[in-house]
Amino acid sequence: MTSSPNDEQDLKLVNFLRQHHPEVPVASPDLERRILQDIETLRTTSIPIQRRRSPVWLVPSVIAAGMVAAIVGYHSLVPPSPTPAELAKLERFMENNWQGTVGDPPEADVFSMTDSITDPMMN
Amino acid sequence: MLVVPTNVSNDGQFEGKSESECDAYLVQQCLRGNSQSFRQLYRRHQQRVRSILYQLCDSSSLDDLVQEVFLRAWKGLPKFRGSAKFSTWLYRIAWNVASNQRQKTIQGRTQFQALTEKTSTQQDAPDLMDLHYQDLVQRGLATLSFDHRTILVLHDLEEVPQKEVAQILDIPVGTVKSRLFHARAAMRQFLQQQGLQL
Repeated sequence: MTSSPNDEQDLKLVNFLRQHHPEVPVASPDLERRILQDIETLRTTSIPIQRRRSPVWLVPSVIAAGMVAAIVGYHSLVPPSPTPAELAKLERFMENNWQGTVGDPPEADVFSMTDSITDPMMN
Repeated sequence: MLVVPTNVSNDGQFEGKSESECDAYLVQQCLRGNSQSFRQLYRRHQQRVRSILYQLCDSSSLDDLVQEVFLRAWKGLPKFRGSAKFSTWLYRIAWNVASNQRQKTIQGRTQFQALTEKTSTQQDAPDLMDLHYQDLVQRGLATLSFDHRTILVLHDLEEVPQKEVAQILDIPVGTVKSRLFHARAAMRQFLQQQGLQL
């Protein structure tokens, strides 16, 4: 829709221009073929014409990458389970050293410990 | 959401769809790599693009300019967001090509070339009086500044609405109205100087 000329003078001028505007030369018969040929060349030689992909496609990729990183990290950080030989060695160590570490300590031991402490300021 | 047209005539016209809807559908097909859809876009718009280019440039290399416009359009389709009509976007490309051509013409054109172009155009005209008036209009357009010429061609000759002209040229509608007023006044003055009273 075109806004109509405001006054009669404009209307006459516009009509005159439309009636007598220079005729456009006819296109050469092979112009359409040339254009489409160029486009076909562009289409086959360049990357496919596509809209730029939205960054939304990154979300699942990031999630998947995060899960893989978590699984790999878990396996690398958790120590491996001990071998039977290591367990046996540990058990022997505990058997040899556990005595006296469980139960109330004898009072004599406590006194003997406090008695043995000498205060250098008292001397 | 795009509606797939059901009826397509031989000349690429869609029945029961607006021009914008048809263009939008064809653009989508082009973006999927369908060059045949671009052929239809070309057929739908080439005449008007051709006319705009000719009246802004009156160039002897019109076919080359038309070709450049449509190649630029093809390359630029991924950036076409569809916020404006395809035709508006395409005419803006045509205007850019015309502006570039005008710069080249100003730099390199000789009077001899201008004379030969004009003579060949005149030989094609069928009627002497019509030829005279066509010559007047052509010379009148040539006397205008490029801005005024563009406004007159797009709005008065190609009947592009003011709002679309504003979008094509990326200027406010008020500026379009103002330029149109001055362009018409200048053209009217030129015609009067040539002895034509409208």
